[in-house]
Amino acid sequence: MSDEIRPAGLRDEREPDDSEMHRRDGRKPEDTDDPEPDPWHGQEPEADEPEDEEADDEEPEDVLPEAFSPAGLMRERIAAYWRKVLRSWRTAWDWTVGVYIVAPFLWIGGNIYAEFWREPPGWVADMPAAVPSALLALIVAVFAADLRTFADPGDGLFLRRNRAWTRRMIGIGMLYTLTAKLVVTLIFSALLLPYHLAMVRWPAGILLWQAAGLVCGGYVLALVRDAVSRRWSGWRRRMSRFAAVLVWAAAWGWAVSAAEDSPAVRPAAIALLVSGGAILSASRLKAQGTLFHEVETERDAYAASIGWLLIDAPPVRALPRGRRPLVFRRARPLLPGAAAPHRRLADLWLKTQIRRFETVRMYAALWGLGTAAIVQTPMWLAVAVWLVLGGLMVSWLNRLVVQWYAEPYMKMFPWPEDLAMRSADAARIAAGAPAFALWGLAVGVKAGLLYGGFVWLAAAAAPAAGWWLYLAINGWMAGFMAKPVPDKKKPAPSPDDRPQAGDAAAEFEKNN
Amino acid sequence: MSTADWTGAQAIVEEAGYEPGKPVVRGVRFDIRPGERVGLLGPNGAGKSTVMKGLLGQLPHWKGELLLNGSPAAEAGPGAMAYIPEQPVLYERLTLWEHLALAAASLGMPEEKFAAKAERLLRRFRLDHVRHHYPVRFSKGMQQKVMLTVGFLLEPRLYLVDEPFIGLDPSAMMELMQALDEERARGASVLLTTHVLDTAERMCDRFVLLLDGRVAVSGTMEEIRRQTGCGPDARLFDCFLKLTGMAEAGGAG
Repeated sequence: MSDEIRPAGLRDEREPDDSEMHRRDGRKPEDTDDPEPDPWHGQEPEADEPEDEEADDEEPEDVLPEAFSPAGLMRERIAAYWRKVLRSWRTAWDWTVGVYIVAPFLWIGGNIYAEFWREPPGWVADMPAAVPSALLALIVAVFAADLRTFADPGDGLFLRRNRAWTRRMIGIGMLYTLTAKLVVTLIFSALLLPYHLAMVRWPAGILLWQAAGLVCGGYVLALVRDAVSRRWSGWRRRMSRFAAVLVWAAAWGWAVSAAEDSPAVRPAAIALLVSGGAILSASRLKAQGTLFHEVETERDAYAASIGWLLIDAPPVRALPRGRRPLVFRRARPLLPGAAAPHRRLADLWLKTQIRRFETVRMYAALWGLGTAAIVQTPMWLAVAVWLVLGGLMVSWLNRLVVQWYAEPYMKMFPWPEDLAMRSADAARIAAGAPAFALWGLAVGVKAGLLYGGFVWLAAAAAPAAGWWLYLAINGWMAGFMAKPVPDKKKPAPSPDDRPQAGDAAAEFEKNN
Repeated sequence: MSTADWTGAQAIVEEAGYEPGKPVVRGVRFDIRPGERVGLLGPNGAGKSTVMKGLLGQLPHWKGELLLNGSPAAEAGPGAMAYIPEQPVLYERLTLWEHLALAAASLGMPEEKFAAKAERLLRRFRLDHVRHHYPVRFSKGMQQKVMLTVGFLLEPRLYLVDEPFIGLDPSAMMELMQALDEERARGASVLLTTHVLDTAERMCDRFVLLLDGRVAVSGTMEEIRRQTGCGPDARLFDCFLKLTGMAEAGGAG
């Protein structure tokens, strides 16, 4: 095959592929990853048979590129993966996202960060150095969490029969994982530099030691989690993976703390992590029957990279992992008055949202960022931020309700418009009012801290007022937000004929 | 929903298809009387699913009407008819019980009535032990039973059931038939599409056999035999083979 038709990136690779090597020396391939490999039926090499150049020109696709190698294939797969991910991210990007979301986020976030380190709270100085180190270990462990091999389901056909190729590709995957850990470590260590340089005054040597330890530890943890995932499934897998992260973070925190009194702990910890990583790597390279797990890991990694873009697309959403819900395992209603159909609907909506980790994470993030914005801004701005947050919360929750009504299962039923509207109203209030009231508490406490005296009453009054304020914001926005079910395309009934939501039960009784 | 004043349904399909000017089904009309079970049968590509989708208002190009009690289905109110699809449609974060609760809420069914009916149906379909499990984790057959349970919970006047026997084991098929018998006693009507002719023959009172998007024959088993020129002992399967011209080709009698 000529260089012109060889895939880009593979043209300079002159290493023969394994099958060619087998053909050259006439030996069998090495052990395969297949538990029951087919016997070798390869032909003996023919001595100095002249190549038929014309035939090669006619059928170039039958011949593997000479430079086809594990490294080339992995390079191609890693590049293809990132091309695919970046292309997906690109679909969510335009100048409005940059101007209205990214730039304000960077500006506000950057200012909050700079302000925090300019005048750090007292507890930061009192905090033992082991605590941020343990948190850093936790973050490095959680980001880029698993061993990446870029396995493809099609590998099971031929590639996995060649053990040498498999080992080399997994080895490259290990290097990729190590590099990913390095990048994540550097980013988060850089964010914590003000603490380490200005507050605990670590010298460069200790900073380098911590970075090396976090990279090695993160890598070891990735291999441990990989082994755990291959061994167990279900809750055992989840608990073991979670426990491994906690143990690692605690162990690293302890190492940082112990190293303050005994510097010998530092080289010992690195030696332990490096040797542990080497042993686990060697063991992993010998493991067989791992393709299914690797494909699953790759699918999860891709879903994690682009999942936030497609979070609401039903085919992309992950199925629940267990057979039963982790929360609200019985039919007991969450909201009072759930006997009324619209309250029952709101109750079911709320349960489904709480069971979705993505929604809970988003809710917590919105609440946390909102609280930070209230705490960090001047008093008058904090009140304005509080009101704006209420509008944001109502809008976001309404979007979730509308999406819920667009679910295929929901669309099977003929939802009376008024019932859907009332249930959406109850759902937005049940989910959003508590957060808004807590933001009110933050506003009240801030006012009390700033002005003292009777202004402390605001700490009690603001949450209560916030509840009613949220109802008002919700009622006002309901007039122009998207509706859970589309308007019926038929002449509007007269006010007397219009069905009332409370009549749904009466309607049922009438028909029965 | 009460069936006391139920007079039946009329399906009228003048034209139905997926592209403008290319109808797949033409001139299909049939009645479904109270308490009657009508089987909509035909070979692959005959237009069964197209008719079903059209009746449900899911087709982009559709000229026709489904009349319930002589009025358009859209005016019949919620709960007048229930559709049980071939492919189960479920929500991944709802338990089985919550699926049923949601369906009941769509009709404004009171809590006590819902609980009693749901309990009875779950026992009938032997799903009561998994009521608090996620149905998306069930086997295909169990998911199909969930869809049937949801349909029966609503107690509509008309059931549209698409390929109900796919994925059901024999005992589940028996449970389905018993449940449909109960619904017949209540006066509800059923239109079902299926390829399982033996079961259709046992279950249905009348049949509409489609060929190339048109009604080839329709009526009771006796009428089908007469129209297809089959003998008095001929099964629906034999009539079907004769009608589709496969009897000669396959050497069947």
